[in-house]
Amino acid sequence: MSWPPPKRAPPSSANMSVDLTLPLPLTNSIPAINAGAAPSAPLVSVRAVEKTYFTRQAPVQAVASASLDVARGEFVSLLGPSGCGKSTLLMMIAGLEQPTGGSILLGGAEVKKPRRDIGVIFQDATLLPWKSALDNVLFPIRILKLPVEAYRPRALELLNMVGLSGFEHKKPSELSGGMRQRVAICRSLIHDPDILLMDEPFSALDAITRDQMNVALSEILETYKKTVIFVTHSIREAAFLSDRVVVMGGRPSTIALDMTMPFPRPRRFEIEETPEFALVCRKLRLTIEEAHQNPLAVRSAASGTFAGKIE
Amino acid sequence: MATTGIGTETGAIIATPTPPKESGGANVRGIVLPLGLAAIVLVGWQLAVTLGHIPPVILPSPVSITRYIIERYDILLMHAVPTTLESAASFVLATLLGIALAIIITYSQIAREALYPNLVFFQLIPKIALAPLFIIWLGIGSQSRIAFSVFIAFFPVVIATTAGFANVDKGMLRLCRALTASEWQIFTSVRFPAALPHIFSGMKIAITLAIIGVIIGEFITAQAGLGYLIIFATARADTEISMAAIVVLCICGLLLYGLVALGESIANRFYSADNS
Repeated sequence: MSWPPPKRAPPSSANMSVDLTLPLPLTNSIPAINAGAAPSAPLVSVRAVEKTYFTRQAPVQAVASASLDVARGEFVSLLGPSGCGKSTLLMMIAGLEQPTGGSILLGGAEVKKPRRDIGVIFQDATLLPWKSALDNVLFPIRILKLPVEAYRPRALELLNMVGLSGFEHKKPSELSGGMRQRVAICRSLIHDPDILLMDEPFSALDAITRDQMNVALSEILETYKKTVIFVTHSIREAAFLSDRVVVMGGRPSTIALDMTMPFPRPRRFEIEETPEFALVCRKLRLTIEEAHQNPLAVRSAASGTFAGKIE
Repeated sequence: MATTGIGTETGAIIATPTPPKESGGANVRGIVLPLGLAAIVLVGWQLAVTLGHIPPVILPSPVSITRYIIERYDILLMHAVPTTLESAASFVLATLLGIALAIIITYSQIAREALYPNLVFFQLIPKIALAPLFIIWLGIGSQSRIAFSVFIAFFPVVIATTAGFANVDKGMLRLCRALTASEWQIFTSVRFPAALPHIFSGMKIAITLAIIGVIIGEFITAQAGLGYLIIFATARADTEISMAAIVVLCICGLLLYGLVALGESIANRFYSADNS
């Protein structure tokens, strides 16, 4: 690897001193919550959502009657194999696709189009290749027509927090895959959205970098509480990061399991070595297999769940 | 250069810095090899003409062509100016027309479906055959030469720019939509800069075609210009003047091409500048 050794994200005690207050309040944040809605009301509410694609041959139902509530500050993973509709559901929550049935409410208001109080992170970092890391982080500020200079210190803080200080003026081609995804995370946080939607953000990274990114992300979120909906097909990743894991599966796909993760926070990598973690992963794996009713998979589950070797 | 250009990004996952020593050696070779080959060809030409007693009407020697250029630079310059200016004007018009058409093709489905197949079909016409018609339509002045030159030079700009606009990372467009970006914001901050390497590669083809267009126009009708000089000298069997005019034409072409390349590096620097 030609990139410098990954700088470990600073310990959480150092994180607490980082000033992440916004230079200016964002307009257009979710109104119902700020206007004193009932504290128990979910921030994101997915109600009997369906998505059918109308192809030339026959309509294909990707998502059937999915319901899901996410409370403010919660980290919820959507887990399932490729093509189970979890990304489709996420894109509908982002307002990038429209459900063909049911409704999605954000702070009580229906999502009809993209909103500026949502930050989205995709599988690829999708950085502008001709811009520096810092300029890429500030990209949403330009698009949202906010004063760039006022957000510049915050962009530098964010880059510092993910261990990229010294790389602010590097172009994406000079950064490793993990570093670029960290820039993308900073970019999604720069305008302080209430909700982060992450669509398999680390699945293009190698396993070692991915583990580092999981630790880094959970450390970021300790400093900087966000409501996160995280799509992944990695059982371990979902279990490590989430407050709740929602398993999607079946054809058409729907929600097969909604499970609260029993691990305390802050989470460190050691929890993956506990028998409790292995049991949770086993339960998730069995649910995924059951949802797909794949008899071949049962055999591999019997041998694969032992000693926490889930992946 | 290897790390600054927009165009160098494609596909590079991790930039591997080249050791300076090695790239320095490659640079020297990249200059010495082509120059050396050119020198060998020129010396061979000179020897063939001198030792083979080839008459100057058939092939004048490089030395005599150079001598003519140095002695009669005033005449050559007088003819080089209108050719260069008309080529530059045609190139600018072809570029503007090409980019404008590409924008229409990119943003209007109807225009795309109606225009694009016709443009490609148009390209199959041997356009040089149409050059005399431009004289009929627009007269014998510079306007008909410029119009003809634009006519043959705009096509590569349209094709390259359209490809560039279409080649934008789909994920980037999705990100822009998620950020509630307007179509105009997407164009100025993503589509256009991403298409720049394509646009400039189209422009580099267009500049050579623009010069060809003007020369053909001057072949047909002109009172000045290097194309006129070549036709005039050839008719009088004055091959030396012809060759001298061609050499000057090459220099003008290099100059214009260099200006386009300079424009590209300025544009790259502008878009990759740290302006935050």
